[in-house]
Amino acid sequence: MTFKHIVVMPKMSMTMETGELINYHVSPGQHVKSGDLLFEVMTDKIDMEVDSPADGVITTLIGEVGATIEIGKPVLEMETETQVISFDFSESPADIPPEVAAIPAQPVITPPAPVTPAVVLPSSVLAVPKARAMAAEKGIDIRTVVPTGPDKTIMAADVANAQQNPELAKRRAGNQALIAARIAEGSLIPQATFNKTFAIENKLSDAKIMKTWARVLKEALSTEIGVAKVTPSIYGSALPVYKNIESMDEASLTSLITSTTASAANGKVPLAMLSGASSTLFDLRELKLESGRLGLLPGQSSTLTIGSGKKGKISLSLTVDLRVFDLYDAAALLARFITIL
Amino acid sequence: MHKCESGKMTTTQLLKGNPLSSKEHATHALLYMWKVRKFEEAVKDLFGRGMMHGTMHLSIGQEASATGMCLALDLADQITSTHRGHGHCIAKGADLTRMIAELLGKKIGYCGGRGGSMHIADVETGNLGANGVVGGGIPIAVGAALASKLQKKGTVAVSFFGDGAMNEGAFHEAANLAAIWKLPVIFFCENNHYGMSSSTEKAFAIDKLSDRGLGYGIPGVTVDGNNIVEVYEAAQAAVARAKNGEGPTIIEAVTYRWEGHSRSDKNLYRTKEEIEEWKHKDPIPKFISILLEKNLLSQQEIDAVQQQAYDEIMQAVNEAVKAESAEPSGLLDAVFKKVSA
Amino acid sequence: MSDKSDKTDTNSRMLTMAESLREAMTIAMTERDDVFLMGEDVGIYGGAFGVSSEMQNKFGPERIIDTPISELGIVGAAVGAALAGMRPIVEIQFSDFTAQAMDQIANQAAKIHFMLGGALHVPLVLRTPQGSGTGAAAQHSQVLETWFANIPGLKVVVPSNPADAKGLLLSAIDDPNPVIFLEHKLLYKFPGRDSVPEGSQRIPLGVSKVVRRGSDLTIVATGIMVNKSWDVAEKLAAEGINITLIDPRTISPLDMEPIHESVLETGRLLVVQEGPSHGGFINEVIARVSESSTFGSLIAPIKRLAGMNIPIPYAPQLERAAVPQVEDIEAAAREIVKNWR
Repeated sequence: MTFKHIVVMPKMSMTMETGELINYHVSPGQHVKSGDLLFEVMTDKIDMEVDSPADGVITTLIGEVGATIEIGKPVLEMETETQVISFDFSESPADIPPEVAAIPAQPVITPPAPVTPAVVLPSSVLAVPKARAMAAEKGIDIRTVVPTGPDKTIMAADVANAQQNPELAKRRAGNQALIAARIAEGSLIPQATFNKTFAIENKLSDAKIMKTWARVLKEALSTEIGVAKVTPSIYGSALPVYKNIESMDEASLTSLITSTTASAANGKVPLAMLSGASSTLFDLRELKLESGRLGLLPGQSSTLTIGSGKKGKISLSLTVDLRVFDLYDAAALLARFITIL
Repeated sequence: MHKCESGKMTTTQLLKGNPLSSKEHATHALLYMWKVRKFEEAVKDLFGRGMMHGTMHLSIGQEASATGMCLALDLADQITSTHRGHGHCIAKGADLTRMIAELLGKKIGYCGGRGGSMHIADVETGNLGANGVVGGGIPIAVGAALASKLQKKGTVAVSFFGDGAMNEGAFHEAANLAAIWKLPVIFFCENNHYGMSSSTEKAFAIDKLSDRGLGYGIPGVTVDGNNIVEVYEAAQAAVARAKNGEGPTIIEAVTYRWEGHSRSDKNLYRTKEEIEEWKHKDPIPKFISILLEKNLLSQQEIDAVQQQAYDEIMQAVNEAVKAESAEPSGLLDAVFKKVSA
Repeated sequence: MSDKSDKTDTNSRMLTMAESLREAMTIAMTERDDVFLMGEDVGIYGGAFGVSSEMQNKFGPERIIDTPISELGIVGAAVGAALAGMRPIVEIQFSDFTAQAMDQIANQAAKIHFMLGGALHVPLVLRTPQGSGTGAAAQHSQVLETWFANIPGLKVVVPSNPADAKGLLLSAIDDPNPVIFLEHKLLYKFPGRDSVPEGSQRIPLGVSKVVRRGSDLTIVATGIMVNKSWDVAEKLAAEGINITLIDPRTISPLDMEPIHESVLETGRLLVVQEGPSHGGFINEVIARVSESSTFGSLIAPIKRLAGMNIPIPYAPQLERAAVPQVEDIEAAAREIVKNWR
């Protein structure tokens, strides 16, 4: 009794998927013994031999020489004298074991995903996780929080401090942006800066300084004079404009300055004082700064800063619009200012 | 008889005793050798069709050493095996369907698809597991023998290993422990002349591997591993020694594997002539000729045994192929045995 | 026995860790017949660190087994005995020598239950001393907890004090899985802060212990670092800095619950281990906090104190410098609390 047996392209290594049939060493009708060479296969650049599984006769050569044949697909058919252990699942595909299935992700034993911040902004600040979480929760832009932690890292406490009025941060940022924009605009005005230090024995009050400066400008320009005074506010800096103060008496001006400053501190500046400035005055002495320069603001023809200077002297820095004042005018303004004081 | 109805797997232990002692014994011995042979051929075929993942280490040609040793053991006696362990597993009485199922990555496989060819264990038949590490099972078998002695169970442990493992530190440490404590363990070395590609000529400075026992005070014997009767007789003597409290024995069974080390072995380290020479010493025809000579079984009976083995393998494969594939869910829970409350 | 376990007076229950471990093993071996101890010098000598002192007199040489110097063979034999139904405790004289036995620990014991689909399990306890401070130099001073923690299939326990050690060892012996029990050499000879409870009460594996509570800082430490951290916590409490100290006790599987709970409260985390920082176990705690929503509660970067990435040096001042000391922990704790709000 003989058995029909199909020799398939065998898988000869872990990764082999196909083999190239190089040549046959047998032909149809040929008798073979178990172990005789049937055909050669090229796989992974290596020549492999496939031997006969039993004694028998070759009947049909199925695969084409030179063809690339998938593993498990028929190459030749033979008749064998003994029954060869062989499984043909080609008709009804067997339950092929799946490739290594993906291992399910390690279950995280801890609470679920991290808090996503409500405000998604590119951040270039360092902040501890809790700070970011708090800022996100309160709708605060983390970039506006002042860091007091090591390496300028924003700590939770810093956000807690900034947290009192969430609107505040927004207003501050807005205000700051506005000032910056105006200075930028003003920087296009042709301007020059002149500095002078002088000594004075009497104390100089805010009122006296402002009134004197207003008077100097009135003399020079003859137009209505408004002096904007840089004043601290919860929104950063405020610039209330004091108009026509050159002839005001000192006491009244002082109380005006006081009340305006107090309002400005709370973020309120009277409507009338929001515009009409010819010049901006910045007293740096309260900040204990020796000197400083402030660029022009659009619509104004000068800015004046007053610093604490060295050794009891006062230092002045005057920046003028060159379309309004000549180069020598600035010196004159300063001289006049000092003289009156 | 090996039963295998779907849903209910039963295995029968080998009929213990000299294969020439009766017709029944002869039939069983021949059947099991054929089962091993057909099983390995089936694995070769299935792997060649791309149906098995990884690689396979086939023991075709070594049937007599596995079967001959197991003929001397009880069900309760334990074995540890190697990466080339299908033969030991079957010879000790494992269920063929569950074995193929494991190789196909099925749920009903011995390891639920998680171990593969090299890690099959069968507790019911005393098989403590095949091992992917060369020499890994040797100290484990010694441990099982230690437990047997401490608990006075009267059982024997057999460590199957190859010539390559005899150079692992694990062999030497385990052999010494077994010798000093006179443990009931048998060190069964299947010398098939090659540890993957390194020949015993190059890996050993001695000719008879059983001489290694001298260094540890363990008696050793070298037998023709392809003669099932010779193997049985040495095995039986070793078992008697062990059960008598005389300690370990080393049995070196000289044999040969027809296939390469694994499925990707290109046999570059040995010649076709050598393989052919050993094929002529095929243990199965060798045993058959003895049976015919002694008139123990007729040719008809012998053919029937081969047919039975063929049928059982075919049935096992066809059943296993239809079984459900193993799934990744439950992998994390499979690492530890649950601690009972 | 000359130890103090017979007395019931609370003061004398201030046992050293060697005594409490001995007590645990004695209880386990009295409760069950299948528990035995094997290792180098554990019998007549009583163990290199005296842990099994006098136990062989009580239990005999078949239950307290002296072995030759064969770590691989011994651990392998323990695996085999465990597979055969016993509960071996194997002592490896220095944790550094577990390297000799790594195949049996990592490839066999850890993987058998999983690989074999649950058919067999390995109820084995491997006890071994670890840690530096005795001038034993590089090959006898390592902390290798992370090696074992990274092998799925092993449970890893690191007791920090005698009371815990007793209850944990009893649970480890009960556990049907392989447990690596790492004892710090420096703890053997000293009592801890707490008395060791009488009786056979178990401490479950996989449960972290909150050693003390405080809302300013969370410290997670292992082994001897728990005790150093305690000293720091005591000192800083007097200054109003209150620390939660957590001892995981079982590092694999790791109980993170109290750690998450505490970090959510304090927002500050300091982790301390003796082993080298690179790839050290304590990094797992950091990883788990960082990948969970607990991350969002951090008000400070996580601080890690660990051993230098060097082999342990010999000279005492060098040996000290290689691992965190009390002053290092104190400085780190102060810094985090002071600088981060």
